[in-house]
Amino acid sequence: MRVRTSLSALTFQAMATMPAMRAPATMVLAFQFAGWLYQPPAGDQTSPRSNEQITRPLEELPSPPVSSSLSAPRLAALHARLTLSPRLPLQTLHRTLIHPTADPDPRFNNASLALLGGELLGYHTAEHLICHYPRLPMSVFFAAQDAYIGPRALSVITREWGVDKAAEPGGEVAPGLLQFRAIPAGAPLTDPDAPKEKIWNRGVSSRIASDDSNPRRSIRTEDPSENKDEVSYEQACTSFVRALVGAVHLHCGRNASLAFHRDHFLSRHLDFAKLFDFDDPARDLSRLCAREGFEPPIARLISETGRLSRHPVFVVGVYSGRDKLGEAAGASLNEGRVRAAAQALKAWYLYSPPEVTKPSSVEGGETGKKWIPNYVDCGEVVA
Amino acid sequence: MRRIPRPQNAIDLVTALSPRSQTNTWLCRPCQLRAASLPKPLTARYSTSTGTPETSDSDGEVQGPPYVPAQTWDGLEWFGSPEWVAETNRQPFKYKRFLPKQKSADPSTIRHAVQRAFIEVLTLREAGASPDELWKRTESAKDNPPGEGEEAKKWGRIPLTDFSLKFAVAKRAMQLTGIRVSDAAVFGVHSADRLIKLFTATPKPKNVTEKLEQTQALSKLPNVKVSPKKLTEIDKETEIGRWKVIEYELLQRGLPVTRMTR
Repeated sequence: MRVRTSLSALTFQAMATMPAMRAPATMVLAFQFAGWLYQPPAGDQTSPRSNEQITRPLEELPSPPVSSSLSAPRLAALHARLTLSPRLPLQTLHRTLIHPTADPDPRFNNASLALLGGELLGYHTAEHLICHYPRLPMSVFFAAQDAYIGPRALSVITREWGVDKAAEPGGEVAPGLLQFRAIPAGAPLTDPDAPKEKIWNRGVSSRIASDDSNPRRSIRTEDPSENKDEVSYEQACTSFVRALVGAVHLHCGRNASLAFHRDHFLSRHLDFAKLFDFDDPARDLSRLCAREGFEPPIARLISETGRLSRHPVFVVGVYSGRDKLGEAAGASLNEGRVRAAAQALKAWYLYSPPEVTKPSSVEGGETGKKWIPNYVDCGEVVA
Repeated sequence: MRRIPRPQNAIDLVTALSPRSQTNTWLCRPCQLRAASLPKPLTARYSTSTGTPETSDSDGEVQGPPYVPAQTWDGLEWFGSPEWVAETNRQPFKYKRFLPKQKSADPSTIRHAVQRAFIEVLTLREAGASPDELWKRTESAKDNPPGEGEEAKKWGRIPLTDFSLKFAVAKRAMQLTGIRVSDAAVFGVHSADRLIKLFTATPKPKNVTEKLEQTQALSKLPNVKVSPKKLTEIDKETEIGRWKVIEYELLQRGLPVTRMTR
């Protein structure tokens, strides 16, 4: 019995025709070597194999050749599915799917595009949140931003866009698949031998100062996703979506990138009221009323049912003078009071001006809109 | 059962076009063939229906010694062996194709080839001018492609009711273009332009891939890729980049990569 083995893992049969690489045409002149021990050989040494086409197996390449993106059905389908502008070429779309762990060459990976796209995403989202919810506390603001454009949201978006991942990066992989070198299954996420670094729970002020919304990160070390040989699926998805945003901005302009952000990120529903978590809403509300010059809040029972039963319900309203600030139902009088105070605080924090002019919408004067200054709040109530 | 009427053999039709055979209309067909200086057609030599013994007399009696079946192979002619080739000083037999290997694909080239076949056959029939001379006279057709204008109308008007002419033209056009056209298809053609259309028609696709390429309904779509062969598991694994990993691990363990062959 003979065993037929294909050696394609080592000397693959599939050959890719690479663009003809020519040796640099440098002229060798006699006077350059006058008096030197080394003398160049006789004859023309400039281009010994100028007409020879260098072919390499596709598997040897870290990522598929750029030319293959033009005939890739997955890329064309993704381009159409996202209704991207024809100005965005398939080659760039192909590049956004190559993570630096797959191809370290910065000419072919998405590192630069992801950097630009990350900044744009952050800017557009922050602008939207600040303009539409000017009284939002910073912690809620960070949570909202993470919900819109955080790594988890971006990986969900990647899956919704129908982008599959490649099992292993390589030149033979079909263009249109997300290529990255994944962390092996079961491997520890952090190096067990590395010296343990103290990770601090940082406050909001520290996060604002360091321009980083991550609450649990060591201040001294750099971003752990950078300069790694292997990354998680979430990190790869994040870099892809960011790179695509950057590519849309570069190829199609500011307005297209704004529309892309609105259609794909801001269109996602986010219940802001669920992001709040108050320690003592009644105290916060009284501080707020004191700061704003309102009358101190007073909780009043509006209605009740089954006081002596197993499940009583008390509807409590919080009033400032004759104005009702909030109303909620609770199983006890105190619960109703606290819930009503929280309701009143949410109503205050989630105020949204009816008409908003975003700074980015009037940038460049292309849209013909006139800049109307937005409402700016003095800040959250410090408890 | 009814006998199926069979048309004459093509090679006989070609020989029938020679002027000598046309003059002796009162002779029977085998006698015509014998009278012609051309070599005897293969079909005539081996045909059982038309084969008449050469030694037969007018009254039908066979002359010569009586027939005795051979008991040994002594005295039989041997041929085909290397000794025979050396003895007879023959050139080794070389197969000559009836149709050229290369098929013409360009419609204008095919059209010219069919027209050339017409002229050649008609020239042979008239036996007046040489085919090259006649062809040179109609070289202007190359400048004005006969696909449009007056030239095309003229070609379309040529009737092809004569069966022998039609058949000879078709066979010669096959030789010139390398495109095989069935006899049944030629049978239904009654004008020159129809014959040209028969040759320039796109060939029937051999498989689904060819059919899809011809229709271009799917091949034009950028998000569809038609594979000429069935995609195997290896193709699917290669597409997502896992095949090289699998292959490497199999080689590391000394296991067969593809299925075992005896």
